[in-house]
Amino acid sequence: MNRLKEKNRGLYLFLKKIKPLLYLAPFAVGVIVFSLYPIVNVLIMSFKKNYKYLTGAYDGFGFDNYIYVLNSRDFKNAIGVTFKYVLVAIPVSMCLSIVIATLLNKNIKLRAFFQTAYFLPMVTSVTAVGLTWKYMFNYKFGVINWLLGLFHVEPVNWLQDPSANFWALAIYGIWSMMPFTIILLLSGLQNIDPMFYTAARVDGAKDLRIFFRITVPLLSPTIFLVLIINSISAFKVFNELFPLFSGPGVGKNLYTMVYYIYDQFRGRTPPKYGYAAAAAIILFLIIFVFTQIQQLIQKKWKY
Amino acid sequence: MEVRLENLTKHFGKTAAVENFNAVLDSGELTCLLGPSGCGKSTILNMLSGIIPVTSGKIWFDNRDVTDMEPADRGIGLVFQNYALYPHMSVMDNIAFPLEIKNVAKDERREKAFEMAKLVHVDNFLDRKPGQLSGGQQQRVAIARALIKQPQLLLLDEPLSNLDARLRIEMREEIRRIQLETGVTSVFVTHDQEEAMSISDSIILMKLGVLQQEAQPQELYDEPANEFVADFLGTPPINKVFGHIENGGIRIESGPLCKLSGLENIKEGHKVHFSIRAESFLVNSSDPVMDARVIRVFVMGKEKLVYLKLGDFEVRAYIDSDQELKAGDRVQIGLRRKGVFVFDAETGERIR
Ligand SMILES: Nc1ncnc2c1ncn2[C@@H]1O[C@H](COP(=O)(O)OP(=O)(O)OP(=O)(O)O)[C@@H](O)[C@H]1O
Ligand SMILES: [Mg+2]
Repeated sequence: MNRLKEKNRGLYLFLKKIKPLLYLAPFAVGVIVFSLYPIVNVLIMSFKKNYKYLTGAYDGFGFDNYIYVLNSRDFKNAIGVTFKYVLVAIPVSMCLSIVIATLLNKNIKLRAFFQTAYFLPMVTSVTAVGLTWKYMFNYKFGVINWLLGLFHVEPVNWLQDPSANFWALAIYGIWSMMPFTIILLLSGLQNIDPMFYTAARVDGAKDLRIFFRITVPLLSPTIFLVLIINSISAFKVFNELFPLFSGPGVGKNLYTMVYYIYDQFRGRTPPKYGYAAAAAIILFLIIFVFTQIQQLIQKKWKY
Repeated sequence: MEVRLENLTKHFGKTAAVENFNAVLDSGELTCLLGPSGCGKSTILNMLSGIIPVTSGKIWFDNRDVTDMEPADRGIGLVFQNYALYPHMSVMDNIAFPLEIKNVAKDERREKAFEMAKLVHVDNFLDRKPGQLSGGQQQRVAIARALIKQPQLLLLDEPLSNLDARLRIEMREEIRRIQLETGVTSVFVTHDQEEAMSISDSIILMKLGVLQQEAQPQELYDEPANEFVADFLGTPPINKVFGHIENGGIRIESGPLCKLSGLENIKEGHKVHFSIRAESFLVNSSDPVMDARVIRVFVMGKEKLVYLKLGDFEVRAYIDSDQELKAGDRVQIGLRRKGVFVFDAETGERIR
């Protein structure tokens, strides 16, 4: 009799322990199947020599893929293009966004309108918007060259000239990064207690000083968050290439890291899955180190 | 610096937050703006600082008309209820910030900030961030920051309401000390009558945007201009019984007739509110004006508090602790000269 009770008790405790896991299960299964498994798989794949995706055959493990990728001229090129893009697009979009968000935060009447207007790019189809930009960048009929013409600037061949097309990509990338950035910054700004501004203003502080001494420091947690989100997406620049150039620019001058990965299994026969996987892991490590540095800086800054 | 408010009025849409306000704040004094929540105290303070514009009327700092002047040009220091210290700056930088704005050289402003920190006793925390200070310490820093420009006028909007009871008493004494040491003309907003009574040179009591009385604390207590003032001040709150004039005295409703001088000119039957402070009763007096029944007795150390039944009403009275009373006793009640008021039941105006 007593023993039965003991036994039931054990079962009861076991069920009690496992219950939370059951609640977690659906989400956990999703994460494992769609995120964790592919990541681990890519990691393993990056070490397999001569991996054939269809048959699953390979010639043992090693660093061969990494050695190949790191020595490839295309990949080195891609690292250069990608870093240049990140280092241009992130600071520019951040500065513009902070200024615009600050202005929007001031004028309550315009805010509703601009919030909608800035959010539009996020809800419209990337491809449709990209095609619109393609027309705007058009050498002969584009509105951008027309505007430059008003200031007597020679028309620029944005899409075909290899010395200009990076800037077309950067402008388009910055533009598409800004709405989300502005929205996040705006919500950060709205969390700043207006009494700080009142206090500073009563002491005679002017707009510029208030901006740099009060707004920016108090906004810095949001700024760092946005910086990290934006740099991760900028390192993965790829989608932006298709609507504007239908490929990696002129020749391969806008060959980015993700384009390289894509090219290894789409552009080559037979597909080089091993190289693609190795390149993906390298990209991951670069992003990881980059965001880690940002976090270190943020810790130093924090109040 | 003397501050004068002349017919000052502020409307927010249809709400009249402040209506036709006239007052003079004497130079070097600490004046309390006292009143219940929503009566327009902060609104007056914000008009003094220039944060909000006036609807009509004028504000004078000595002979300067500052009504339309920018806040920054008025030479005021402001202390906020929740301190408004910049969380990312050290205590030192917070205190020195008003001078930084004025582009004062770094050495000079650090020196001045250190002086201020010493005045308010935070010189040990100069490198800390506000988040690492207690509420009382933060408030000291806020006061130092408000004083560093040597303002002509110091404005404090409920500076103590975020502190616990004990710290509140300590800090109000500190504020008084700092005010006396610097001699700066100050306006202190509060809805706590005890706080106002204990630190001010002068109190302005207001209700629904209208000034009720401006006087020194003791005078406000002893000679309230109307029923609202009498009700607002004092712990425990003043006793209030209703009645009407009868034979030159007051007939308390369903209760005794109270013989009282000074009511000869009021017409028979006029309805009045009869207000008596707890310490103004003389229980078992040799010169009684009415009688009452004891309901309860509380011993409170140096004195006793008795509850008396007066007609329909219960009142509280202080008696000496050596007087022996118990529930049910009938007692003869006399009244002191101070703390006994008669108000018109309709208008609340003081009759006696
Ligand atoms: N910006 C505003 N817009 C509309 N009405 C306002 C505004 N500011 C204050 N009021 C109104 O004006 C009146 C006075 O407000 P005020 O803030 O001066 O009160 P207060 O005496 O400081 O009260 P408290 O003790 O609660 O701080 C209130 O009725 C309030 O609702
Ligand atoms: Mg207020």
